[in-house]
Amino acid sequence: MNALRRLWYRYSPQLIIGELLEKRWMEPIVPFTLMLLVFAAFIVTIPSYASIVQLQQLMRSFPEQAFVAMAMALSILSGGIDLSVGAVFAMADFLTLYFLQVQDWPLPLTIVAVLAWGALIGAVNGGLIAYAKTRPFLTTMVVLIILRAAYNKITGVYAAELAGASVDSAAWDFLGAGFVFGIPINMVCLIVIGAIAHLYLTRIRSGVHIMAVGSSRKAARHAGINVQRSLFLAYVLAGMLSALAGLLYAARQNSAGTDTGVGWEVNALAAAVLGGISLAGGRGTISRALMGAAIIFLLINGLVQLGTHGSLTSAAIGAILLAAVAFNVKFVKNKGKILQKIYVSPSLVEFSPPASIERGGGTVFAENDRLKDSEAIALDKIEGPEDIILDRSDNLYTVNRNGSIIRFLAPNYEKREEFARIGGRPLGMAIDRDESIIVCVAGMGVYGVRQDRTIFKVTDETNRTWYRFKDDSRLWLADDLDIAADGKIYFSDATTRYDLSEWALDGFEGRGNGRLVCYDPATKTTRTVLANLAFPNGVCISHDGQAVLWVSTWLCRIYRYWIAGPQTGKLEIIADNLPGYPDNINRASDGNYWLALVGLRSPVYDIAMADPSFRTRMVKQIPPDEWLCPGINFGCVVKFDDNGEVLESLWDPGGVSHPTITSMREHKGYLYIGGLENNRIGRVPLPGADKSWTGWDSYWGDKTKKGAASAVAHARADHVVSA
Amino acid sequence: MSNNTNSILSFMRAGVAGVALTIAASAFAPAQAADPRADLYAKFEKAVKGKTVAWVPVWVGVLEGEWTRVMKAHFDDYGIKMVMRDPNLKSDVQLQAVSTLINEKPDILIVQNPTTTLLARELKRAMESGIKVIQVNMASNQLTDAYVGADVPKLGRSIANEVIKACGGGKGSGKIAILQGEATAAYSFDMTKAAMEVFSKDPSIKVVSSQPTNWDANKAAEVTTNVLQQNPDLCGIMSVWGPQTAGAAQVVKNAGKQGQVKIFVASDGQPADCDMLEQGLFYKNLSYRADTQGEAIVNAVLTLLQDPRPAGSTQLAYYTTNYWVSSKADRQYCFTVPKE
Amino acid sequence: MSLARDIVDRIFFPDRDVHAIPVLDGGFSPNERLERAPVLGDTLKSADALVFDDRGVLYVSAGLQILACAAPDFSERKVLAEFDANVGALAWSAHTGLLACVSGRGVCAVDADGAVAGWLEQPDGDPVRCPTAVACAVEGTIYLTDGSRHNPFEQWQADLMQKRPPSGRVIACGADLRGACVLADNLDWPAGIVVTHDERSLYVVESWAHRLSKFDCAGGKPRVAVKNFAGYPSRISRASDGGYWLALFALRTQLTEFILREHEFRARMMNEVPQHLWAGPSLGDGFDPREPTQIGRIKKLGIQKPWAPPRSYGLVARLDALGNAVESFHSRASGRFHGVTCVVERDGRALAVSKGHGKIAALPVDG
Repeated sequence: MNALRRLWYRYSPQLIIGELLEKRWMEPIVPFTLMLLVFAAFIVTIPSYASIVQLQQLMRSFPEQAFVAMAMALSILSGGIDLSVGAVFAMADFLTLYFLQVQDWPLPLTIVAVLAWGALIGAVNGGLIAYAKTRPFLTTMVVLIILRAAYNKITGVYAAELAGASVDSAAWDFLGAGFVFGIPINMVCLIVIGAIAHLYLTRIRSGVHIMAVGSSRKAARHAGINVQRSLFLAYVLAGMLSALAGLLYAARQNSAGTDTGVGWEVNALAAAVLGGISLAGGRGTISRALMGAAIIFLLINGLVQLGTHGSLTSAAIGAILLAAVAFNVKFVKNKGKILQKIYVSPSLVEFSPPASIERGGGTVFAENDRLKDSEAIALDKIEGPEDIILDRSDNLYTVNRNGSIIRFLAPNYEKREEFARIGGRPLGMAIDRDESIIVCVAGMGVYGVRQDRTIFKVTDETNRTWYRFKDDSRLWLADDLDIAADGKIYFSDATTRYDLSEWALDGFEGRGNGRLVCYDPATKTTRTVLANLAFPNGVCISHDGQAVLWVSTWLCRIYRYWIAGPQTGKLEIIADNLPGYPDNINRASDGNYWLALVGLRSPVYDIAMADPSFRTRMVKQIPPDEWLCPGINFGCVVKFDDNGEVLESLWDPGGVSHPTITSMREHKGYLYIGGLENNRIGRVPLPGADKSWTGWDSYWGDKTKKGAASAVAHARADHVVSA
Repeated sequence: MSNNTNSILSFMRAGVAGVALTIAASAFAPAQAADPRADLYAKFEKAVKGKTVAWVPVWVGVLEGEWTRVMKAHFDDYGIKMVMRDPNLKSDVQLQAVSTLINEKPDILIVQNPTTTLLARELKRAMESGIKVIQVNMASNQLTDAYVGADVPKLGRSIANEVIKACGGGKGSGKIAILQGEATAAYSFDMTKAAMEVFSKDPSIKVVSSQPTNWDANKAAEVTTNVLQQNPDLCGIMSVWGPQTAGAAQVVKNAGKQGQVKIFVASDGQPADCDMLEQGLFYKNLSYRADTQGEAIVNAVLTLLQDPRPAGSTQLAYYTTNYWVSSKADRQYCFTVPKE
Repeated sequence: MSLARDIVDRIFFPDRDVHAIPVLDGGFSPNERLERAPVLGDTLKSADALVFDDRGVLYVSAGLQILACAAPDFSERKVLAEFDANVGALAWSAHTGLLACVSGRGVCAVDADGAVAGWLEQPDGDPVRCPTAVACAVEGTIYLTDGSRHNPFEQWQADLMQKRPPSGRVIACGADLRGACVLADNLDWPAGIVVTHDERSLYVVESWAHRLSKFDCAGGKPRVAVKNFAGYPSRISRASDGGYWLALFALRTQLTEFILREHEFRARMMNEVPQHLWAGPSLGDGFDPREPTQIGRIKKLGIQKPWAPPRSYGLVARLDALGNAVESFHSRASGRFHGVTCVVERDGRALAVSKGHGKIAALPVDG
């Protein structure tokens, strides 16, 4: 039962929904769902609705309305509206028949002439709106009225000719009734032109300008966009799309009735709104307009097929559209809120009570004052030294929260200089054989800085998890790293669901969102070694070079992952149920390892972690600032050996000098202490420690135990290590 | 006129006899299979029972409702299944509906064409795919298995002659306005064309306006208002359909020209038309009866169903007989809508 | 839905506690005035209540003792009396002398030498185990609040988390501690009481109901004066301007309110976690790094933000005669003057005691 619970919370559907909602293509989810629902409903109610012939019929009938909706969408996206689309469409319909049947023009000329007609009306609209600064609504409405009147007059005059005429042209018939691979020709046109229009609005400069103008005319102008030209272009394109619709309609219907195109502008407008295109402009896509148009089309078509009385059809469609639009507007407006409410998806983490930290409690974790009188280095000269490292000349490097690496020069560390500015949020560091600083940068990846201060990128992506909606190929929160003897860089990508500023939320969730990644300089490839880890944090190559030691912060565990020797590929827990949340690990001079406990476990929080539904309700009912979270205000430093046995602990009670201890580094008999949110680096002497020991020598010096070159790391993405 | 009356009466008599025969036949059928009369019924039943008739009017107005009611009543009796699609005056929707119906392969497709061209291609396709097509009242450029409805040119000529009687030859100003329906609809188009031919023979008649009103009373009212302003001495209005003409009649009445401007209308026997006439709003109404027309459609369906030849073999016509309604006494030529 | 529920509640249950925690604004706008107020004398561990006698001697209850403090600035402290249980609220009456509430036992009169002169222990045979506040009318009647029938007053956190049906009482007795009668029953942790300036009614504070109610001195149905404090109100005393001083010993937080709705979780917490590590309000005493943290309380660059959701807080409010806050004194989340349990005014200044941090501070009294 509990296993089932654990499974449920690990693969919570909420997780998928949350990541889905985050996707930009989820914005039109309401119209999309409605479209599918409408379609499904008619499949159920109308016999053989989904038959090939019927589908072909639907595809044949739909495109003209879709083009007109596209034209309307284009004008709305540009920040205006084009009410003349229906009239332009009708006129184009008539003109096509007139040119072709009365004037006997060849088809290509007719097509060019009709498109030119659309462009002309578009130019009139666009010219007035863009250059004469008239109001789009009124301008296009006047154009609508004029065109409509002209259309009625002209069709009346040519009624006789048109009623009797017909044209005998294979090309014309193909345009009206042809198929390409079983798809009606006009649908093919729609697909092709729809794709082009989508690309145009999202990828091509002038199209993007139209969107920009629609979003904010002022900002667009300030950005140097020719606003007038963009607007003009939008209306010309809208006109041409409408004209194209008219052309195809003429080919298919061969008829220019008085009701042709009447009210189509309203349907197109409804389609745009239904698709979720903001009437304020700039927000929406072509595909959304098409979805809206498809819904309206399917509804009308389906209801008529059901034999519904005409007026009932109209009323039903009106009601459905109204409801859908209202819901969609609400959804678009509140999507962010929904996401906020469901994105955090707590999982089940069960702890047993940890070892006591009680002062004088007799455990190795017992609170003491060994860090209380630490010497402060760089007090108030540094913001958030998450990690520190010292080079062979005793200079001290640390990371700053503004994205730079700061160096304090030996021997007294008074002189501060910005060693390199990388950007992002640099976190864990290591020094490689060439004495370059290799650093994990949250939000960017893994970077390096050579001693000549040049910056280079090591890696910024790994292989993507195929089954996740969220694109996790980018490194999200590279946290700590270490370098194996063969130069392979092992680093932790702590979570792929939260940014560094929200890392406590990842703890609140407690799910295996992180991974251990390896960069191989020989092949210059990056592969995920272990996936689904609960906030993998500190990473350290063991003294013998045969294993990677890493910690899972939220599970309070230390793991060992063998990268060389007979046990290669084996993963084991060497310490469990620590009383605090482990952070960086680094080598100690005596062959053991230092480990920072960034925070201490709180019994109340442990109970909360064992009750995901409680946490879920918490997320829904109270604001994030009030949520319980791992206590990371107070911590300590511990030392452990290769068996995971904790040997001693160093405390700064109350976290007065060292709140949020995230790292420590031993160097020549001193222990240097850094903290993610601290304003200083601390230093305490280590009595009895080897006064000549340096980290670099331990990795790259002559005394280094040469372990066997590590074997190829097996990808172990299947190995799930989380709660 | 008496001629017309006679013919319709005889037609009706034949109809009644037919129905009686059918009933008689059905009573005998099970008992004596070898009976030739029973054979006839068996053949009839085999031909029509369980067949599907698809019906797509322009919309379901009073006229179309009456047709539908009559058809339904008969088809139910014969065991014919009827499906109807109501595009509610939207030509693109109507085209979709017809296209879809063709794919559904009914045995008979009945359409009322909004224009001469809209459905032409689809009707051809229907016949090619084996569906027999009947067009009602408003024809297409595409001829099909049967046409049921008014002989529109004849309608135009009759009414034009009546107009000339009232306004021609110095009687009144001779100024005539024509209110067309949908310019490209066969009903309106052919009628106007035929009328114009008649008018052109009488030099005293001057057609001052000929405009489409899209079957819309409001539009007709607008047009009439304009025409009256430009031609205060207008003598007559010739219009093609009752409901749209009602708009024009109101304008004439409000302008105080009732009596001076005579309204001639060719309509479908809706009760409202007779009402208007009795109130003096219409001067003359050339009417046919939708209910009998509905029966004619049924007859066409029966004919085509019993005809073993494939679709497209015949081009039958069932022209409707028209009656002049000019006073209360002619009320019989307007049908009554049964209360449901 | 919740809006509809609120509306229904307002209409049908006008006196019921509303759900939302009010925002600190108006008279309750946050400031640092309590944090910055001058502290009198040395730290006094778990100082709880204050009272002046008519000669201006300040009595302070702290732990098992009552201390008598004299000028200058009450830093000369000597033990007046010592009990075998914690001493809480104090009061002074010209008729009875010093009155002290003793946990688990009742109210006693203490004479000038510190000897106990008499007890009120079992009015109606129902022992007063949780005497939280005591007040005296000028004519000598003593009014007493008994917070709960289930817990002594040290167990206030448990009482809050247990969410039992309200069982607090208001008890009145004569100046000789006899003739006790229960004026009101089933109150939700009544923790403060004061006789109004006109000597006709009583203001009674209910901590868990976050409200201030007015009772007639003779008993009867109460009228709610303030429905919904942003914190847990505690003792109330008269102010010289015709208003009242109210000590609020902690602020309500969304987290606490949430946990109060989570019965299963609360039960597990009470069962498994030591009380001082519970999620919920605290007075600010006894720091432990294992206490629960909230996201907003994570230190940034070593600094606790003052607007972080407070586990403990210092808040004193001055109310007008109707109970509306006129001004307030705060020691915010990052402050060091939390868990104020009592305020008394004399000679142009008000003394507030922080039980959490064991300090007494003097607040200015203007106009």
